[in-house]
Amino acid sequence: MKIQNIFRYIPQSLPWVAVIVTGILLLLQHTDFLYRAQEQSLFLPTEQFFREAAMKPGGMLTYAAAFLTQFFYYPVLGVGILVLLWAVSVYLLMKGARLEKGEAGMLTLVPISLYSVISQIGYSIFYIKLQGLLVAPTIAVFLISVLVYLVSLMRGYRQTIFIGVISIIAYPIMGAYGLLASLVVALCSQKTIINGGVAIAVSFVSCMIFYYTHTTVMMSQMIYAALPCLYIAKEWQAVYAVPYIGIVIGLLVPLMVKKIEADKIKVYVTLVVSVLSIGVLLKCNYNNNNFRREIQIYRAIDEGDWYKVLDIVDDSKRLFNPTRQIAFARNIALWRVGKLGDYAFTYTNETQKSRAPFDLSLPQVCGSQQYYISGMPYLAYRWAMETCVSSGWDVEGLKYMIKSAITVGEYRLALRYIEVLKQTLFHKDWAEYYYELAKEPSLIKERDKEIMWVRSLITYWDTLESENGNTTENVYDYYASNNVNDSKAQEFGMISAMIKRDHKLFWERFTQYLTLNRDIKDVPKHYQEAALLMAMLDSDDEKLNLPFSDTIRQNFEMFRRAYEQTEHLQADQQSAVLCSQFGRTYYYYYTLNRGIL
Amino acid sequence: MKILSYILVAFLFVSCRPSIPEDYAEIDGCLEMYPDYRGVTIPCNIAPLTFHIDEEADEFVTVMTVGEKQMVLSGEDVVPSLEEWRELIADGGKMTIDTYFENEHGWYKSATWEVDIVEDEIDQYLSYRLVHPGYILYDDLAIWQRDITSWDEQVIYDTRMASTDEKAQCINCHSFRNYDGREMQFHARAAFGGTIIVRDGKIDKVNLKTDSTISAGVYPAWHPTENLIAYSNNNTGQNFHTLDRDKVEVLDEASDMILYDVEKNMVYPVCVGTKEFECYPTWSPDGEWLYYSKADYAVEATGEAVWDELRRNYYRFKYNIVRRKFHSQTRSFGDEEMVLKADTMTSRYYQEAGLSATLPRFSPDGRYLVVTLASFGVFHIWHKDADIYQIDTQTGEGRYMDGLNSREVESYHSWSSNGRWMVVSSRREDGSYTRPYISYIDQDGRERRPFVLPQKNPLHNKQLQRSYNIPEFTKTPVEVTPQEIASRMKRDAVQARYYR
Repeated sequence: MKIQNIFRYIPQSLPWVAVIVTGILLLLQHTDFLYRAQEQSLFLPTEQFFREAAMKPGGMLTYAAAFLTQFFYYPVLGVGILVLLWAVSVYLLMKGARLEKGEAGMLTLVPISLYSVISQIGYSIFYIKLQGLLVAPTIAVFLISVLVYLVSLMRGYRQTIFIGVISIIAYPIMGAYGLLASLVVALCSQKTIINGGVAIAVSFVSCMIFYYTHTTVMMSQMIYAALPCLYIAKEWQAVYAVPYIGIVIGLLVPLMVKKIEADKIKVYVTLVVSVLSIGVLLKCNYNNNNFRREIQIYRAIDEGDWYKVLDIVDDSKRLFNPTRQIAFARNIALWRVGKLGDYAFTYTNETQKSRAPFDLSLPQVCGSQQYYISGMPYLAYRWAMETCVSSGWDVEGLKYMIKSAITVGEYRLALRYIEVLKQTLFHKDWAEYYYELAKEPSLIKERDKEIMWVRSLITYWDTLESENGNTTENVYDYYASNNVNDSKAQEFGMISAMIKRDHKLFWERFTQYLTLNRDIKDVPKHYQEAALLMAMLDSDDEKLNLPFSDTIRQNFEMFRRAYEQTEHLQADQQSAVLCSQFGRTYYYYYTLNRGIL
Repeated sequence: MKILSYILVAFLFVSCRPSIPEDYAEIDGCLEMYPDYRGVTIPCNIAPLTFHIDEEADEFVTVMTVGEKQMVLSGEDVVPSLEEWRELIADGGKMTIDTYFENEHGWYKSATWEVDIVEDEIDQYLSYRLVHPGYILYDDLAIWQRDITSWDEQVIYDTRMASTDEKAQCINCHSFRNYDGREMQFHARAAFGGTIIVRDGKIDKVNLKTDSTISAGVYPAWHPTENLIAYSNNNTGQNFHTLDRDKVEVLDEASDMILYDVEKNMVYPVCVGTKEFECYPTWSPDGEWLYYSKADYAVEATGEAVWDELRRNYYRFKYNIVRRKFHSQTRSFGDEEMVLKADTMTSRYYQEAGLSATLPRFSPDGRYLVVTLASFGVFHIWHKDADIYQIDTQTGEGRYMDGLNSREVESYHSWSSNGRWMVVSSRREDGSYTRPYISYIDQDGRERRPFVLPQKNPLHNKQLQRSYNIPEFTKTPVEVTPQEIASRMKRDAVQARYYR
């Protein structure tokens, strides 16, 4: 078959297929994440918000992107808007650049790259400080496609004037995308070289004007305006740049190739771009089950649905190795539903690091929630503020500042943040609910069990901490070390000491627990297991003679024999052998678990 | 034809101006408004007081009257125009404000409230740093100067001009010499760190850290007549309460004092020692005395245990105000004299003895020394019991300036150049966000009800998620551009020499 025939048959519907497929993928794989993404964002229809955006190059673009990000509150709606923008962009680019048949196929990389901005981002969303991070490239490409279409309607000197005007205003409005817009529009024009020169020169002038009339950017950073900073956790994460490179290639290559006569070259380029598109789609897709669980758990906790948290961690029949965040949330959920003592160690506690290309900081991801549900509202407030400062103000941070402030009685402070949230599109009702509590604190007792629960945990003395940022470890340390008169706080103290394998602290907490629960008939299973194991290890006969249940004693004896029989094995082998029979006991955790706190 | 169009325009203009309702019922009390400017005293050159009426109604008409002059405004956001406002308040006097509102039952008028306008002018500029009320992490810091006779606000310097992706920059402690924006200094830390000193249009960058000092210069005080700046050196750390509304406790691991000779680029020791903590220098207006805060505490621990000891004993740090005579010729200081023994005073909020006095600042005539008092510690912006306290140097009497104190924090205060106005950092609105409140100080040193810095958008202070930090008056603006500062910032600092 001749080359021309192949080229003719390459479907020019490829970009449309890409739009549909990526839209479906977003709906199938990323709705939970998209919901969380809008919680990690904030848009306010206020003068101050607008002003702060307008001060930065590309600020208007990110302003619009922050506005659209809100719609991920209903993920289907948000995805629908995205897909519509992608489709319109493809159409306008095809029309404006007069891309015919197979040439249009080269645009496939554009929607795929725009999708990959979202699908790839993973944990870095908690670090990158850029309003409307997920949607900004889509809006930028849409605006560029509109400009391409408009310039195609013009001829001669009008095109040059138009390109000049675009080059002046595009940078302040769109930042780095504005520079790309100028270049793309020049490429589409009739007198490419002249207009290209005009675009470059005028864009340069625009940048300089902006620099000398504003103070929000370094000279050397200007070219990256409105792009995400990929310096995360003290390292450059170049992998996240791939979709952005894809956008540039996807826009420039078709326009450059359009100007080449030879069909053969066009065919080859189209093939390369198609392969590249598939590569980007496959490579830039972060699909990690633990990440997905964490997102779902976070929302379930926010909604106070502790049984849902347990459903989520239970979905793989307890066989997966959770992250610290998941294990911690699970323990809190069990605690909340009163099953901590019987079930905490029936789950796999062999925690693993979150799969991120950088060292993850839990406070950055979920610290304020973790501290809040642990009864530490001041630290919750602190980390909500820290993440708002470092990664940008967001709905999530505001919510935890509000809840923390109300919990500790700082109602005026809570009202300040409530007034902010009341101005959002989808969080008004949430804000209204807390508004009533802040205005009339006497309602809290009857209306909000969550706040009352957290308040009941505040039984400790104030201390001054430097607080190193390891939330779960800090919480376990804190509870393990504090003797309090609240039974449930003491219970969590016991579990904390057990997780830390600290005998001294365990016995202190256990003694206080028994004192506070004098009438308890059956001490939960894991507490008995811990007491028996530690008594044995401490060679403490008095404690060994505590009235443990017969089942516990028998089971422990079996474990002890089995452990001794398998001691000669490698640790992994021993662990595997003992797991099936003893994997749901504290003994197994104590002796064979190597996970991180 | 032309005349007709002028008449038409004039008619339209007049007909668009709101009219004062004639038929209305009076109600007791004022409407809720934000900010609340009732009963404040303002200078005759301040920007318009704008406020938002926080009530439900169909229409609002607000009438501002000073003598024969009157201004009528409509809407729930009362935002007088600059020109009309200036005309209204230029001669001082008493302003009465009446608000009319209409609902389905008709028009009503709320109770009249008043604002005093004094002829003592206020310095035209107020500089401040805008900072999140955050903790360790920081971002996007800028020092601003606001023309408080208008809405004009300009950046003096923004850290984004020198922050890199790898290293952000922090800036702090801007200060001016003799209310002159042309003589200024501030510190930069982390990226491109150093002390920026601006004089006579020239920008210098100095590294004040020497091998004989514990840190670079921190809290500054320009000498009123000589090219000298006193600094404290501080090794500072933030710590966080697990259960206290104060939330944060800033502690010094160590602090000393130095004197920097700007001409000679020389650092002189003032106070060096491990058993005392010195901070917040200030000069007497004649430049003959150096005043500062000092706490006696001997740290017993060493190494990593030092911070544990400090955190356990943070409430024991009580600062007094002391002073030392300055000998200009030799750049030396006399013996220390006690000025305010705060550690023997009794808290009026808590059942405990001993207070801590910081931030001593003199009125320009030298009569009044104003400090911030709280139960303990050195960083009172985080202490909810912090209040402003005044010492009359003529009589020796001290009193709380309760006309401008509130139940929340009042701290960092500075005087205007004529000594008639004081700006105070206050968190009275919500306990967390610092706003500059300005109070009139009369000839007898008595304060009047303060007003928050006016903003064109009445809801500005609710929408701005940053605190105003280190408010300082100047008579003249900073003239160097942010770009010029950034350019110098990115070059190496000149190393200061240490006097031996």
